[in-house]
Amino acid sequence: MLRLQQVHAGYGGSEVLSGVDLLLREGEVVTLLGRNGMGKSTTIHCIMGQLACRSGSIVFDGCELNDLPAFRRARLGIGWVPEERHIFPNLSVQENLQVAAANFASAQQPWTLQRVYQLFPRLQERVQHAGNQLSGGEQQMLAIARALMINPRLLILDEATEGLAPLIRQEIWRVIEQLKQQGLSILIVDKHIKTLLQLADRYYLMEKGQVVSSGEASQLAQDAGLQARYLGV
Amino acid sequence: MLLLIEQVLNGLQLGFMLFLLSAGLTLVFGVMNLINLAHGSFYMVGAYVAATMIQHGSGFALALLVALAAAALCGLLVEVLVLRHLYHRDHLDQVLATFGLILFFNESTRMIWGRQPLFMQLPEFLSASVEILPGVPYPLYRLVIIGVGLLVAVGLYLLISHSRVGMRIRAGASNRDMIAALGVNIRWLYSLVFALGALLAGFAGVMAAPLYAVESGMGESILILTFVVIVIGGIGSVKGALLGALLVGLVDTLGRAFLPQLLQGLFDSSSANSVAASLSSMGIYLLMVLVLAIRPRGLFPA
Repeated sequence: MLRLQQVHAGYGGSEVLSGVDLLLREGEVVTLLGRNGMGKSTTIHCIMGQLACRSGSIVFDGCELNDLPAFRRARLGIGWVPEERHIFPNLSVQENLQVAAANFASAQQPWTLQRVYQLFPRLQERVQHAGNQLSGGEQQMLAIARALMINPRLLILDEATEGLAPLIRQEIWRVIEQLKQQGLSILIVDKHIKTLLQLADRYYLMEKGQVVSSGEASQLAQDAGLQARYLGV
Repeated sequence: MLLLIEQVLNGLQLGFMLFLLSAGLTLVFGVMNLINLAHGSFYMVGAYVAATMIQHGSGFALALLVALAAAALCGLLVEVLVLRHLYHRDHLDQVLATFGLILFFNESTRMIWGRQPLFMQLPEFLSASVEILPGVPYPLYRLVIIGVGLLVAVGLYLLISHSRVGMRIRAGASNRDMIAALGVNIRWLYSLVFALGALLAGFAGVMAAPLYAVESGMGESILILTFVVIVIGGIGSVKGALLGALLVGLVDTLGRAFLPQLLQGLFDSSSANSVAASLSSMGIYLLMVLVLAIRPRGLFPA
């Protein structure tokens, strides 16, 4: 479904990604792991068209993404929950969801307001609140719900549980698990390694802009040495 | 008292005319973060096209439609050919490019229509006066401008606050990268906003054409007032543009009408007139200073 081959990218004179290879198959949950500054978010920015690749190829469903502007990538069915959430502060909860609502990828069971409210009942209680009136946890729920409203076939979550209270974090993990059960393909970056490795099918471990290890998530969960070496766990 | 009512109506008429201009400019600035000094050129294009159509025997409604289309088309072309390349440049580059566009439009109008101003005749049905109070006639056309301004304000409110496009415009104003990542074609959205702004400016030009001389450069003087309006109202806010425009229209008109009389108690007649003329032309800037001192981001910042 998604394949990155020898992706190089960076900011200004510095190179952050030095030949990243990654494969995500339909229905898989894949996690990108690594310490801070190793290139995980930069990889996501390249996939979403927020940062131009210097070289290499990113193919989604047979379509080369490097040739496409950001909005075309979303229309192919890639939903993005950015690390900073980027909730529209001047729009209400409902408007934040409606502004994204579209069925570009022609999902058979399109996401509707009703469906996302079932997933996040708390959002329904805040329907008319402006985005900037929500708590951090509610904003995170809204960011995920908003990404779902474009009916993605691949959902990319960048630090979706960062800075959240434990109860809210559990709620987010529950939703991600539910989305996995529904067959949604997911690429996820997060710092909660233990939970992540229980949820993901496969992992990619990044170090200094390169993938240094990949495989079954269950294998990494049992490899304390690898975790200690690259993740400091 | 009768003079006051008449001058208040004149102030409202100027205010709604300024609103038509400033609504587009504030949207362009707020959504696209673009300083467009050439906004007054679309006002001029609207006025010229309408005046020319009327001179050639067209009806007012057709002249209005063609002028609106011409202004919107000019806006669209300017956005696609020039401004699209400047979004990621700093404001100084935008100011320079749009200043260049002013020169281009002014010179083009001189080449097409010559240096002599055009005067647009009102159709008969709009030339009449109506009695706003017994024995107090008021030009119907100025009331029409007020009515049209109100309708445009309501229409813009519905568009911005209650439509999908409006939602996208507001979302794009706060985060253009995120709205693109949700599948919205931000280029198309920018073109739409810019063309809408140009259309509104052209509309103001058509409405102004029967009242003022239609001449090359007519957009610049009113553009300064328009910038004052959007600074007072809060950049990016249509609601702010409406209130700002009405305040500026009223302060400017009432100042010019009543300051000479008020100052005659303090100065002799000729001094009062000259001080009043200076003060009234300063009035809107004093208003701007006052508003910014109390609310540095304007009355309704977006």
